[in-house]
Amino acid sequence: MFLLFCHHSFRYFSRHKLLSFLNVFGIALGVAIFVSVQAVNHSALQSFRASIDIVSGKANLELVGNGLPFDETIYPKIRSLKGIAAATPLVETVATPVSVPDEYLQIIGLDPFSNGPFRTFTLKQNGHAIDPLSFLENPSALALTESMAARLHVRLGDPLLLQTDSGVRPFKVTFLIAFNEDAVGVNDHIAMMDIANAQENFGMSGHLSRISCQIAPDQDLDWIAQEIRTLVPSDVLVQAPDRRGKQVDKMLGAFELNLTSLSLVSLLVGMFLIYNTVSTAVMRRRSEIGILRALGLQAIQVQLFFICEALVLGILGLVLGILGGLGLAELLIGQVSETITSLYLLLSIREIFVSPLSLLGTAALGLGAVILAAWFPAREAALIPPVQALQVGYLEVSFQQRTPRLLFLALLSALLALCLGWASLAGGSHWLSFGTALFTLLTFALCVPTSIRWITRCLRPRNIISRVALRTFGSSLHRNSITIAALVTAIAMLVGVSVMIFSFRTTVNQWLNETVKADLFITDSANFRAGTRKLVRPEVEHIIRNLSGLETYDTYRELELTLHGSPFKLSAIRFPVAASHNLLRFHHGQGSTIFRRAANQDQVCISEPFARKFGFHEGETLSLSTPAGILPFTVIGVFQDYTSDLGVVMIDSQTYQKHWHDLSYNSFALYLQKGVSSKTVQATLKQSLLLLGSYMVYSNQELRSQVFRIFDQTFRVTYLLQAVALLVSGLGIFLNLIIMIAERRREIGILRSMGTSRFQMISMILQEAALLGGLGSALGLAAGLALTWVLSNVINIAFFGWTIAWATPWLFLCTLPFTVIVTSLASGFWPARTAAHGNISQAVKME
Amino acid sequence: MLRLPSDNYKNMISINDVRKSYGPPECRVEVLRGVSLKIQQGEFLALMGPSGCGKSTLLHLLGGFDQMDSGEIFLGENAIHQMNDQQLTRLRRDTIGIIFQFFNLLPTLTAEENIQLPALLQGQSAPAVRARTTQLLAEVGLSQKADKKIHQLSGGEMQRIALARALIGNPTVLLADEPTGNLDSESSRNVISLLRELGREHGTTIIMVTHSTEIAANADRCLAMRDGNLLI
Ligand SMILES: Nc1ncnc2c1ncn2[C@@H]1O[C@H](COP(=O)(O)OP(=O)(O)O)[C@@H](O)[C@H]1O
Ligand SMILES: [Mg+2]
Repeated sequence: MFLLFCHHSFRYFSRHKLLSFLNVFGIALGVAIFVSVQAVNHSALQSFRASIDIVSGKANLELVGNGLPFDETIYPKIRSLKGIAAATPLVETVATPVSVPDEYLQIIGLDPFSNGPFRTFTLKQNGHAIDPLSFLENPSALALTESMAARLHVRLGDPLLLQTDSGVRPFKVTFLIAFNEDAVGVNDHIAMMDIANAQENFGMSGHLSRISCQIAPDQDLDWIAQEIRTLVPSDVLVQAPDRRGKQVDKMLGAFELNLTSLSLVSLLVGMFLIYNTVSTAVMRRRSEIGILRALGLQAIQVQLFFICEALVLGILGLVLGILGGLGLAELLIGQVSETITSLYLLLSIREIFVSPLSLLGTAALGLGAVILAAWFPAREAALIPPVQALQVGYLEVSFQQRTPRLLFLALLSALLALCLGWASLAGGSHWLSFGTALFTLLTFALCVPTSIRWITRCLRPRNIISRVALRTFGSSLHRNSITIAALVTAIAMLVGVSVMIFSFRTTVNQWLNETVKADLFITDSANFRAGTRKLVRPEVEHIIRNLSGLETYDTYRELELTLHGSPFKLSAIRFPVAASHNLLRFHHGQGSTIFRRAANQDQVCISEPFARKFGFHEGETLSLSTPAGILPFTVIGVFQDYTSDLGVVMIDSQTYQKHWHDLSYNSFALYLQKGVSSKTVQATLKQSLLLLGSYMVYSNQELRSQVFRIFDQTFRVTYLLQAVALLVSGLGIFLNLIIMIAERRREIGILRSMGTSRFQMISMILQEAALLGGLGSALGLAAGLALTWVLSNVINIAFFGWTIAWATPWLFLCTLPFTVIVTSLASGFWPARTAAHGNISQAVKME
Repeated sequence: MLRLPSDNYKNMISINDVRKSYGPPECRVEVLRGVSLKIQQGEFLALMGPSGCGKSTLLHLLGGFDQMDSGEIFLGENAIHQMNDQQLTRLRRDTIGIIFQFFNLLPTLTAEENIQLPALLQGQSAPAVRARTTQLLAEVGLSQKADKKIHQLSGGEMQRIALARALIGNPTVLLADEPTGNLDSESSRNVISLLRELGREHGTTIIMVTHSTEIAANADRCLAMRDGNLLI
């Protein structure tokens, strides 16, 4: 019996090649997006982990400076400690090659004597492995990765000029770094040199970035860590190396979550597609089902059969989707890597990694989605009483009867969305906020059938062609509902995310107007690509001081510190300067008064994300670890900030220098006297800074466009995801109309036999396409605006805590329905033409 | 507009050596093997023959629903075999009325709307169409069922609606393909007498396919078909 049915389904597939193909394609697209986002996320983490591992892969305990490098005299103390089997010091910094200023090198200074037990790489010279002790033979020896050497156009033995703290210095590419097999995906910006050499050239004399340790096998890790903590200052963190991996997980978590949830939408839209195909298959073969049921096939067998059939298409789509997704990941990886590097940490993802486990997970999710989407129509098929199966439109009628119940479900889902939103804001899990978004979408999707009925009842076109189109549209309630629901979901996402990004962009622009008031900015060029990491040489400050036309200048120093295991940024600026320019927007009070009061005091301002993340309010005491131990600071104000979702603590430069004993700066902001042309000063500065290193002098306008470049880059990936979701739902419309003209072939034939012209026929089907697109975009817009509200007032608050002022992209919202309708018309044209050119005689003879 | 035959032009329809075959070249089935026939204006012709002999095919060629392989069909002075799709559409809309064995009413429209469809396609004014529909509904005896959906009607009622639909456009030629094939004998008699009366009233040429000799007895002339040929 089952074999018989398999035979049937094979015939069905081969007779509806286009239908099957579109279905597979739709599933593949949805899956591809999901897989690629997963792969990119996974690769980002993997590549960061591998980079940690490369120099100290075999360490099980490490000492890291909390923000600043620490004193190197700690090293001998640690080394001689009982229970420490091996320890090695490291210095890390960033350098710009003079010949290719667009690239950067992540310099690691290592100690060749003690590094042996930790290494997971080898140095090579002409194919031979070389002992790192050879670093000592040549004080300018430098090791590069092969791919970086290729990008810098240097070969072994060539000189390479690098910007150092004492000006441009020649180094010699002496070795190539070859990574061990287990160090896959390592960042190829890594370059190595001797530790003393690095300290001397990059202003780190007497300081270390890190000490990696191996403890003796019989020792207890926690006990030793505790022991070390008593020996070192409080601003040195003693931790297991995997701790850093966990921090990265946390840091990138929100960013990846964003991408993952968007990719789930395309999967959801794909599910609608499957649902529609299966229910079409059921409707078309109801007579076969009826006969087989009458012959004794059990209900459960029928259901199983349709699910299996969907699975065949699903598996095909899944395989294609996974392959396509990996390809897509290759395309996305550069974008994502750049975003993460400029926003969070140095990261260069060069290769795609996919854990077999996550692929398995995707496959399971995909198949689960197929089964879920096929479940209901298949059950429908199974539940048809054998006699009624032979009657036309049983499914349709039973669905029509259920629309009131769906409306009730929509209400329920709206209620659930509200409850979840409230729960997540009232201190429940952040994840609940995604439930709010999901149920908001579901609410609108469940309203679709009722809207269709309502619209077919209310519209009374006089034109007979339009009237028939409207009736046909309303009579395929089931199929049209699903197609429109898919469209509504995709458009809602598009609208939601677009309005959100637009609002965010507008808010950031206003914020920039209030915050970035200086005329010129100076920083090392590496800071713009690799985040704020490089210091500006002290000579630069002399040049600035002697500049004619200068009113005043501000200094900027940024450290990345850790509080309760989470990273945040400490920014030191000159509060008196900030006060005189009334910088930043505070929750309470004016910047001018707050900054004036806090100048040279142990008082700090915190950003909104910081306040939310760590739970601090105005007037409370914040304890920060400084080289002089843990010190209390009073929180004097909470300000709006959009530079970092990690959170920012703003401190007066004088206070910072007092406690951290650090006189260096990452950048300068220059305020010019009235009437002085910033262009001329910029040119003069560029000229005089040329000899000191690769410094960038940005005008106010240039800095803004730089900010928006990073901003737009961050969101570019989301646009791609949305485009795919729209594409899949466009495919849904096409599929819907193809099914429609096949199902209604007889009716089309009758209309033609009564004297409907080809033109009228085409216009009739295009009217249905326009109805699909129009209703979809109307509901989609409404759902999108609701979703925007959820995104900015629930998800944003739960995860990021930015203050976003709603801004409406009117032009986009007004043109969207037209775009969607035109797209629907375009995807309806081919089906319409096919319908108009069908053979009338055959159509009316069909039984 | 089609030119209608003048009074001295007695042959309303002339069919000359029409051939039609189906299927791919390697297994072609010839369904009409050179059919020739002349039908006079206002004539009621019955066409009989076993199932599959090509009766429907011939009717559909007459109605301009399909293309013939070779031969000629003239409707008055108009050569159907030379028409393009636009002209065929106009022919179907203005000149031909058709009734099918399986009724072929549109399930999404009401009985009344089904009847109105051809007239509205012709572009007749809405009030005129409404008046004519009311009149036709009364003539077929279904005034009470005007607002019913198709699936709420019985077979006989459906066929009477189909008859009203076929007549509303004032066709010169009415094609009926086994109009009683799916009806009980009571309904059959009812439909045929309506067909005959209304046809005569409007001076319509009627070509009807049927299996039943009793039904065929209502016609002016009766022709038999076998294996794609007319038996004279
Ligand atoms: N579209 C088609 N393709 C192939 N064969 C067809 C097609 N339409 C009709 N036939 C064949 O042509 C023959 C005549 O059909 P038809 O004119 O419908 O016969 P009937 O006299 O019963 O009305 C039949 O054998 C039928 O199988
Ligand atoms: Mg027939």
